[in-house]
Amino acid sequence: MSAPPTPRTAPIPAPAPSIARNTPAALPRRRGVGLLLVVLGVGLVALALIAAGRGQLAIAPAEVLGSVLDRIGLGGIGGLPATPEHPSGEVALWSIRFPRVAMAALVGASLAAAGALMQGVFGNPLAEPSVDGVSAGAAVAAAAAIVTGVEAFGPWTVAVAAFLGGLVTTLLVYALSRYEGRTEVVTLLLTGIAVNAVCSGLLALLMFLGDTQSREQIVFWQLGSLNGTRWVYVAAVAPAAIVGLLGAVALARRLDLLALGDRSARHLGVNTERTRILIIVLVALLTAAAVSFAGIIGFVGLIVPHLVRMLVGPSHRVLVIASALGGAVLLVLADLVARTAVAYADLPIGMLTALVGGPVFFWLLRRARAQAGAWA
Amino acid sequence: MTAAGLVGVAALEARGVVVRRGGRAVVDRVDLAVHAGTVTALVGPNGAGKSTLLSVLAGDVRPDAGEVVVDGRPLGDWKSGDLARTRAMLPQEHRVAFGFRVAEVVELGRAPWRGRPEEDHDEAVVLEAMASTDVGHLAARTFPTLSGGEKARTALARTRAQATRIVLLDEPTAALDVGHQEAIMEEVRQEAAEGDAVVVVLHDLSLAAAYADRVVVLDEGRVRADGPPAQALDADLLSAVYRHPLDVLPHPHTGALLIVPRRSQVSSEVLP
Repeated sequence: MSAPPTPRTAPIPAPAPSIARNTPAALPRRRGVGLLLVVLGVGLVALALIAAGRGQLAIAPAEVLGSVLDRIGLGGIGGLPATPEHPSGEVALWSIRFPRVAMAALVGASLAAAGALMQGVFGNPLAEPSVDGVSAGAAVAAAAAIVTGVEAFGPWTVAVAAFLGGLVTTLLVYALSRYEGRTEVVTLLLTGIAVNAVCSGLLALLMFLGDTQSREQIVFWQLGSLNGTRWVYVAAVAPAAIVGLLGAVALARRLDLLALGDRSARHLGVNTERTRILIIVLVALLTAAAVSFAGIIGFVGLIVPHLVRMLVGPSHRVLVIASALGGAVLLVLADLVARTAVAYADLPIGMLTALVGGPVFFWLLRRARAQAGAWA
Repeated sequence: MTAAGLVGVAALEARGVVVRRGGRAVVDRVDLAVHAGTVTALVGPNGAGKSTLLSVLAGDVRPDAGEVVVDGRPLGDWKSGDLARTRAMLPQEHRVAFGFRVAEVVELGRAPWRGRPEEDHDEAVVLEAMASTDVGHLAARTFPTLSGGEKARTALARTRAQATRIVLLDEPTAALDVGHQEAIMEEVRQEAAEGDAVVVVLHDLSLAAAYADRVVVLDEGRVRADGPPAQALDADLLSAVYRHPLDVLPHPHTGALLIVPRRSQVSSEVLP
């Protein structure tokens, strides 16, 4: 090649000056992750102690704490009383209040974690069990188990039916709303409308077929309530919720890679098909854990992960853990309001979360649209 | 991580690859052996099968016939983790769900190295990858707020961070301005100089001529030319393949190959 060097036309531009643009000396880190987790953790414990003391029979938080310490073998620490002053206090705490607070925390954590997982696997911030009809699907299956009186799994029958219903509905929604490897917002929401419509029809049918007692139980679900929670219910829900939450944390890093799309995730070594199936099973497990005894409590799985993302970013490991804690806090608080806002009345908690969650969902829709420029 | 011991063995090889779509062969009996330390450019008109061939090489598309061999082992025999530490792929589309920051997206490229000694260098590798693709100043920006070119460079930084010996790039320069195109191709050359095997799909023939060791011209799924740029980029062949007359000219001062389409002069007459 003849290459007479002339200064005016250098063959290859000098290494682009832009390359030297200020690269940071260290990677920028999201701040406040640790703080958020500590605040949520401490907040959950404090709120639980306060919530357990509130109600028709008021028990001071110090008395609640004393009673808890006594039960776990640390009685007398800090001069706290081993049992509440009120003669019925101890019974009220341990047979009514604590099971209910524990259930609220489990259900809230399960719903919020399920929401975070669904959003991750759909790659879409508007996915949520109650929006997509997964909660409704689980409730239909559980209602069917009640109405038909099937007892294939003994006292676990309803929970197992809810799990299967949730699993089938999640798979269905997933299959219906995916198109060419992605889930568009509109498709997802329309799928949710269709699934919810079918499920409410089926629920209506089951209520029509059922006797008074099962009808009452189904109505109780649809409204969502933690009223009448007993330890045995908590014991039924806890294993599913705990397995679901641990699984969610274990799969969280892979969800970050799924955010790049299936192809890129595969190139980074993720078995995308297996990961998706595992996550869908976890979502069904968590949703069933939440739905089986507490009924349909909407929007927790939508709002909590969204708030967490706004505070500390979308990395799923932090998102799943913080969402679970945040969901627990939110639902313990919501349940406290549900049973204390109106004297001698127990408001349905699902009604409360819908009243607050509906407008927030609307706001999220507006926000998502503004950011996308148009519906993607 | 050196190519020692692999001398003579192609890093990546396609053997008689055929991909059929709707009864038509979009990739037709393609043989291609890519060696360490080289840049191979795939060029050709739209629908020539460049991206499909790259997808086959990456393992995204299973060929209807033929096979892909990486380091002498058929692609199907690789564990996904090992493969992710051996080859990286830059797709044409750059999408990231949720508001991940640029630095976080690039860090995802380190995922295959988690739990290995190389993990200790994660931060240095990520910073280096961001500097070489000129996205360091965007580190704290969220991906959805970036321009098309910035997204493309961030995605490229991610494949750089993956630190693999085989790199597949699907139109890395498509959304970039001239300055960034040259800078990125310089970077690609540098990777090859360090011993990587690079396959890159390009639309800009002059860019292919300037930076590739070898150019493969594809048309209707078939290899029409394969060789050093000066040999593969033949004016008659290109004119036939692109269905438009093209001239291949040496740069008046440097002798570098310039490929320019022949244009009618009509358009200039309407200008004042």
